[in-house]
Amino acid sequence: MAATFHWCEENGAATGSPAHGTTRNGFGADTNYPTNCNWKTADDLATAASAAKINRPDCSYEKFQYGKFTGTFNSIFNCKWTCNNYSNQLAGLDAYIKLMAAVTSTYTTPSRSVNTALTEDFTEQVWVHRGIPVKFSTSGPEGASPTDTLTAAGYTQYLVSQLQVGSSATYAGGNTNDMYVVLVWEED
Amino acid sequence: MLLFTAEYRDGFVYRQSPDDASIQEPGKNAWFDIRYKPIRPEEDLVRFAITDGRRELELSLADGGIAIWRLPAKAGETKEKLHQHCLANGPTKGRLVYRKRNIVGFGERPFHKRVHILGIVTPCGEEKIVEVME
Repeated sequence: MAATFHWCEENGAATGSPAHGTTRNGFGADTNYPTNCNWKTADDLATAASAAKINRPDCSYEKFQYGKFTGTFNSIFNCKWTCNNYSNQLAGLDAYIKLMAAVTSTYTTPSRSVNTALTEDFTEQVWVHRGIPVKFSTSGPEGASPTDTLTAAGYTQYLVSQLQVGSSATYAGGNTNDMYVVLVWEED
Repeated sequence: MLLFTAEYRDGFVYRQSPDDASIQEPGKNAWFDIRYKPIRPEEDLVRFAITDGRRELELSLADGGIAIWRLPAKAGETKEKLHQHCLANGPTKGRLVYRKRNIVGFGERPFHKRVHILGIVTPCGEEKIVEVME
């Protein structure tokens, strides 16, 4: 069998050392995998985006997503991530609405303040082959010393993103067009 | 599902099973038997092919040629060489390349695409590959 992949997400206050989220959706034996990647003003999986809209000036909570690999494989490598693979509609909405992101092994309690550490700008479409390189750890997305290659069941680093709406935003409101968070990797 | 077949100089043929299990070690896949714990020396590989029963992508390790063949072959159909390397200097041999690229998308319609990458690293270190969507 090939590698089996699941998207996962963590929420809540940072806990443990190294830090991870209090709620670990999809981690380990947990199978409460997220079913959407909506950016919203609630730090959980359950709240509908329509009930947690982002008003200016505000930001979504940072989303701490990651991938989980199980199944049978020898090695997984050449992993990259983008959180806006198929749509450039976000840029068309308003120049003061930005989708910022970063890949990291560090979990911090999700916040609605502008996170300036998210330096990768996905406001406009970024094809996944030009995405951010991602490393792996067998212990968790927070694992120290992540590696370029995964040779046993494990996780990607945290794939962190935040929708940032500036005070000058003039967009009348509504949902953005469909966007895709995309991960690519090679395996043998 | 694309499955591979590896043929060796002594006539031995290794066929990847649909469950993709190593015949040597539990928990490993079939490629483990070719590359990581070779059931025959890898330099004795003469042919490597992947097929889904409708088409076959064949790699000749003897001359570095790759061909796509529809199955069953039609009368008179010849394999189309996608690339040949160093043939001007006579048959050569490269190291087998075989891996899969996975692309997973999370959004309104989640998807998982798998692309098989087959080819050789030529003696001069150049990777010559073709890609086939599963």
